Order: sequence, then structure tokens, then C-alpha cells
Amino acid sequence: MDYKNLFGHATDNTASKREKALSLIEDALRDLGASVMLVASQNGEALLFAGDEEPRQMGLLAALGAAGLSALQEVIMTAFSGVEGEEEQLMTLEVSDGLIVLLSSPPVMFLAVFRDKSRLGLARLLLKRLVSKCDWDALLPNEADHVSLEEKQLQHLLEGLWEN
Amino acid sequence: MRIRWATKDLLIKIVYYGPPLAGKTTNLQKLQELIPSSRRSDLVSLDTEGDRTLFFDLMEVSLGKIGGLTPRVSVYTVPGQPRYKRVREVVLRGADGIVFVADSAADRLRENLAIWYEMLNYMKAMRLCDSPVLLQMNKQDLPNSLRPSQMQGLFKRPGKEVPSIAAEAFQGKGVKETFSQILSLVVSGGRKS
Ligand SMILES: Nc1nc2c(ncn2[C@@H]2O[C@H](COP(=O)(O)OP(=O)(O)O)[C@@H](O)[C@H]2O)c(=O)[nH]1
Ligand SMILES: [Mg+2]
Repeated sequence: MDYKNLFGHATDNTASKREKALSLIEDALRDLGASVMLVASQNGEALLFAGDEEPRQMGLLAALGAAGLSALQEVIMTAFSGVEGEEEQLMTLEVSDGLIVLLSSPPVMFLAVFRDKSRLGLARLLLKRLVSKCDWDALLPNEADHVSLEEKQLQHLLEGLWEN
Repeated sequence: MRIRWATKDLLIKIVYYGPPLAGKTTNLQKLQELIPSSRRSDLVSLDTEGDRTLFFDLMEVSLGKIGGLTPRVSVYTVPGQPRYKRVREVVLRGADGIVFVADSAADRLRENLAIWYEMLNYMKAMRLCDSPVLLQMNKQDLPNSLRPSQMQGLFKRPGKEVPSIAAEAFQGKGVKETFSQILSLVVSGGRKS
């Protein structure tokens, strides 16, 4: 995997934290034989691991769509939003070709989709381990707003936006 | 605004909020017509009950390139029905700017205001009080619609101006202006009104 490309801006230290967090999730994905793993933070940002593909960072709603979980969106969102200050919440959903297990531990959530229903216990264990060990913060940085867009620049960009 | 470093995107999240059938999805449909397809994603709509938004609509608009970054606007709508309160809350999270689409029909006023205050409560809980809210007074074409001057004073935000725009979204009137103005408000930090 090309971590440099993914996180080219990172300092060495945060880069290695990310690598570690990424490999923890990828290990879990492999151990479980999961088709999808997803980590999401409560600011609505998610990192989607689907099979062998490079992890993709996107908005949580978009990630659920990309993972083919749109139909379960409401359920998942409700589980995730939980009650403020509430502790961990584990949820298992049975779908036609497998299981979806979700561990919400605000402000983060881990979700796995896998086929082998006999691995439910393992899934719970792995997700719990991710919640406690995985430095998800390093994966879903909520970068401070050092950047700003000038209004003049915006006007310029907007002028070029419309169809004639 | 945040940066997604992997792709050097400058992310701006805009949410169209409001009661059911006020015209939120229509706004996005018109934006889709007004913005060339090379500059936007397809409109993802998850509606399964006629023309009502269930869950949300989503479209991403790419504004071009500036200083090595690509400003990308994610535009969401929320489902207006009372039972989707939680979904509204989740979609609203992290919004840089909000367009409140009000149905100007006089008999929908109470419903508009109820969801307006719900939104303000969520914004307070999520510390979004600095995010600008633009009021779009839609369906101005309806014979029983309230005039802009009648509506403006009714939608209040503590300590903040509420800029507003009159619209007839299904005719495309005010759609472009609304989108441009909410982005200006986001970029200017809400100073302009
Ligand atoms: N009369 C009138 N109808 C409108 C206007 N804008 C949207 N509508 C209609 O209102 C209905 C609901 O619109 P929709 O965008 O689905 O509402 P949403 O639930 O807020 O997403 C549709 O039948 C639209 O065609 C408008 O400016 N005037
Ligand atoms: Mg709709």
C-alpha cells in the first residue's frame, strides 16, 4: 500500500501512527474475512476498507452508500448517533448473505460486514480491540482550518461554474 | 471547511434543511441542471415514497482549483418528516453552511417554524452556531404565499442576522443565487448578510 501517497503531508511520527492504525484494521479485516470494514468519526468522516482496494476516505453517508449499505443507513446512523455521553453500543444486523457488526464508541464507530455467521464472537472481539487499540484519530484527522478561501477567489470560481 | 489531505480537497459541507415538500430536492435537481456534469457528481437521491426525501440527497460540486487545493462542496438535503429527526441530526453534523428552505404557503408557517427551531437546537448542541444560515423563501408563486417582507422577521436566530432569498425553485428562480450566497457566507465567515 502506498502510504506516502495517501498521507504525503504527514510528519514521520503521525505517518507511523497512521500506518499502525491502518494495519490494525487491515489485520482485523483479514482475520474476519470481512468484505467491508469501516471506521467513522462523529464529525461524519469515514474511512472505507472494501476487499483489497485502497482505503478510501469520504463522508460517512457516502461511505455507507459505497459499501452497499444505503438501505440500512437509518439504522446505522441511529445506532451511531446514540445518546450523548453513552458508552459503547454493539449492534448486530443479519442480512441475507452475512452479518453486519457495528461497535459504536462515541466519537468513533467501527463496522464490519462478513459472510461467515459463526465468526460473530470473533467479530465482536476484533472490534472491541480496534476501539481500544486503534489510533483512529490518526486516520481521520480533523485538520484545523489553516486554509481559507478568499471571497474574491470564490466569486471567481463560482463565475466559472455554471452552464453558460 | 476542512482539508482531505489524501486528495488535497478543500471540503465544504452545505445542508439544505426544512420541512417536507418545501423544495429541497428541487433545489438540488435544478443545481444539477445548472452545473455541467464535469463539475459535479450525479445527484444521489434515496427517495422511496413518491417525491419525498427519505434519508437524504447528496451531490458533490467541484469548484475548480485554487492554490493547489480543489474546493469541493458536498450538498445534502435532509428528510423533513418528523420521524426522521435523528437522520436530520446526523446529516447536519459538521455543516459549514445551511440553507433553510421554507415553504412560503401561509398554512405551512407553523410547520416551518417548528423545524426551524429544531435546527437551531441541533446547531447549538453541535456547536454550529457560527455556521451561516440562509433562509430561502420558496414557492413564492403560490397564491397563498406569504410575501418575503412578512416572512423575514419570523425566522430569528439569537444574535445573528438571517439573510434571505425569495425563490421559485421548480422554475429555477433563486436556486443559483441561493447556492452562491450560502458559499459566500461560508467563506466570509458569515460576516456578510
Ligand atoms: N408551486 C411550487 N412548487 C414547488 C416549488 N419548488 C418545488 N415545488 C414542488 O414541491 C414539491 C416538493 O418538492 P421537493 O423538492 O420534493 O421537496 P422536499 O421534500 O423539500 O425535498 C414538488 O412537487 C415540487 O415540484 C415552487 O417554487 N413552487
Ligand atoms: Mg426531498
